Amino acid sequence: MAAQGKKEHLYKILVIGDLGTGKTSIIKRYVHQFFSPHYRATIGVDFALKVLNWDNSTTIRLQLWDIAGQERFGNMTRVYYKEAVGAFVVFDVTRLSTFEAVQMWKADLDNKVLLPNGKAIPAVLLANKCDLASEGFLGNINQLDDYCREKGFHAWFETSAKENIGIEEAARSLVAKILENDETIDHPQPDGDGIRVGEEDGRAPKKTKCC
Amino acid sequence: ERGVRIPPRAGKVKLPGCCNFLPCLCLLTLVVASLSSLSDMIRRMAQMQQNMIVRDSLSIHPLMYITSWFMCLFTTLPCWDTVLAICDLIFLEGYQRLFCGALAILEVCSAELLAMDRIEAILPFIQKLPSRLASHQVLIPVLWRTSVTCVELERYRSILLRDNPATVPTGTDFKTPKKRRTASSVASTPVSRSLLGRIITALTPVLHEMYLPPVTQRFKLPLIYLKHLPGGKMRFVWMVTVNATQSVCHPGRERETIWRTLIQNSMSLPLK
Repeated sequence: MAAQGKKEHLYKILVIGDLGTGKTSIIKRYVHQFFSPHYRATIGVDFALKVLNWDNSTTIRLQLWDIAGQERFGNMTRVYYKEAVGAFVVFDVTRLSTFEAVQMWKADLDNKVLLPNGKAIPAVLLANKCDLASEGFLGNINQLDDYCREKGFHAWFETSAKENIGIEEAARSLVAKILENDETIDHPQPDGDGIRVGEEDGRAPKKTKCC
Repeated sequence: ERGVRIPPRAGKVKLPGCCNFLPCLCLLTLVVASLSSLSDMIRRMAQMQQNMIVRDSLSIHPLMYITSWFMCLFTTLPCWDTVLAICDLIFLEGYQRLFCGALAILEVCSAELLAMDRIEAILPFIQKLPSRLASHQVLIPVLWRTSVTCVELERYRSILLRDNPATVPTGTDFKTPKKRRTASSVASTPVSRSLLGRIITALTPVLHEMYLPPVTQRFKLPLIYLKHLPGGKMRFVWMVTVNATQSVCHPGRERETIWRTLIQNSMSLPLK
């Protein structure tokens, strides 16, 4: 690849979930370290880029696609999902309806985009607005582990864009999974002369709360 | 005939096929039905055969930038006088003018877009157009000389309808709005001479009625909906909840920003 064996990846990641769950706020926090309490609906799709220095030999450019919450009701998500390799599905812990919509979003996702090997793209569930969790409907939080396993989520995290909780961890978890997938897809027979991302010697980040 | 006529529930309102959610998403879906054609038009009208935007290799689909223009009536553009000019044109001449707006924008930024080769550069650029390109002096003259006729749009739609009947919504057509007879606009509805009346007539097929969703403590939104008044007239009523007023209309924000946000937020409300 580039000089000194520096490897660069470009990944398209979707951020989906119902209206007003905080998708845009999460991206703003993650990319711009910024939070605004003023609601402004996203229309269509927004786009942000985050560059991660994953390790000494790997740079990752994340294209974050912020899909408007009302899009599930239109027929246009297919266009936005194209070529995505990972997704965050966001719900609002203070509104049960947004959690009920999670499986609809997941189904929409799995119906419309697949990895090149035909598998579903890795999805991480974000329980956003956890700073307001005391008012929320999530009683026993551990039941989400079972939910994730059942619905095919790679992991879940409690997040708060306002208080900056859980977002970095969630992103690391998703990117680690994407890198893992990338290896199995791009290098089906590991004969050792490609540049490996270095997962086998334990440099992969800890996977918190994986299920 | 006296008193406020209660609009019929959604079941009776004839909306373009697939959509029972967003009035403007309906409109957009309709538009999308003609969208492969839009690419054709982009090619034809701006002579942008090599335009990256319509080239498959970059996978940039018009939906990625056009949605906010169409759904928010171009209020996402940075220059308010431009926004008002485009809206006037749409309100006065019908929503085929949406296409003109889109084509005009593409034309004014085509030179710069052609020089870009990465989606990370192109999408943010076109989604957040710089003021120098969206200014009234630059964009509006181009808009005036851009034309898309109803006949063209109808032709594109009939091609789509032939090729793929399931995806094309029916029930609304590309015509300069005239007296429409739908479930809730009765035969006696006159064509209004006022601008507002025309606005309403133009938008009636899609904005027929907007439902006020239950507003929770946590999630209050500014709402706009059409209210039926005696004699078949309607008017826009802005409903701004206390929270939303504080959130959107907080002091220090310019009126323009407030209106943009109100319009844009109201576009994502459910139709029930």
